[in-house]
Amino acid sequence: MTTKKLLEELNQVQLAIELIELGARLQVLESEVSLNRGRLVRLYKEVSGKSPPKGMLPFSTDWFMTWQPNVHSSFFYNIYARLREGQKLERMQAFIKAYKLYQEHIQLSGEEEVLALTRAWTLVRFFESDMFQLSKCNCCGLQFVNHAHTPDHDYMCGVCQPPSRAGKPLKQKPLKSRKEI
Amino acid sequence: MSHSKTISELQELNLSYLMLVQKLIVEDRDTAIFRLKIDDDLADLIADMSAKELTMLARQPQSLLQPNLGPVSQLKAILTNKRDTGMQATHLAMHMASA
Repeated sequence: MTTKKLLEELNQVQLAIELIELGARLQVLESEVSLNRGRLVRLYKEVSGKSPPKGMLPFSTDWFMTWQPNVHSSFFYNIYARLREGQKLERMQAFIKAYKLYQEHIQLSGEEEVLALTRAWTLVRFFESDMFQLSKCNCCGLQFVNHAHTPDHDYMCGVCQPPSRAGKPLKQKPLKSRKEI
Repeated sequence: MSHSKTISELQELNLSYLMLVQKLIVEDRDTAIFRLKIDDDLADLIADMSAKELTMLARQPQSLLQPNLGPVSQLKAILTNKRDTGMQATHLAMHMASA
């Protein structure tokens, strides 16, 4: 009995450490890890070398619908869904692996890391709370994050059909014309 | 039938692939399955193969690999998107993740 409890506690500590290393805010830890707040705060300080930032989490669904965040979020969520639903991984396992694969892409492509871990976690929670759905783009056929219960038979994603003022100037290329953000 | 150079290259590719699969599975099974798009049964089978079995399979003058590029029309749409918004790499990565 005691061995089981000890092992479980160790697993939770390990989970907390992984999440902290990936940038999780305290609220994420409190939600997902079964250690008390005091221990989580201490762990946070030890692992990250600083005190956990205070303040509420940004809880808006709107952010995920803006152009670049939508593409990055959709990319992350596709990976998460594949691992969770396709490969039947346990929830936090799938989440952490998916986030690491997202980070890998950022590193390989040199794109900006738009989706922080806490944001990714919020995204998953929004899907679980039925506030988001996936809509299929009529051009590329890929699934994108969208408000739940939105009619989407004509849906076009932000890459196949960018909003008229999308597109930041690329750092590598010389600017041919001024693009408004 | 004489062995053409191309068949040898195919056989080498087969063997390299199987060995890489074994390595990936040992390193991180779930991520390997995600990257390779194979199922659990095949992953287990390849992971447990002996050198003899690997070689026997690899020597078949058939490709052990099938392209994993998803629907052609979708891939084409992504690659030929004329709107340069800096999102192409992520778009492609998304396509590959869902393939």
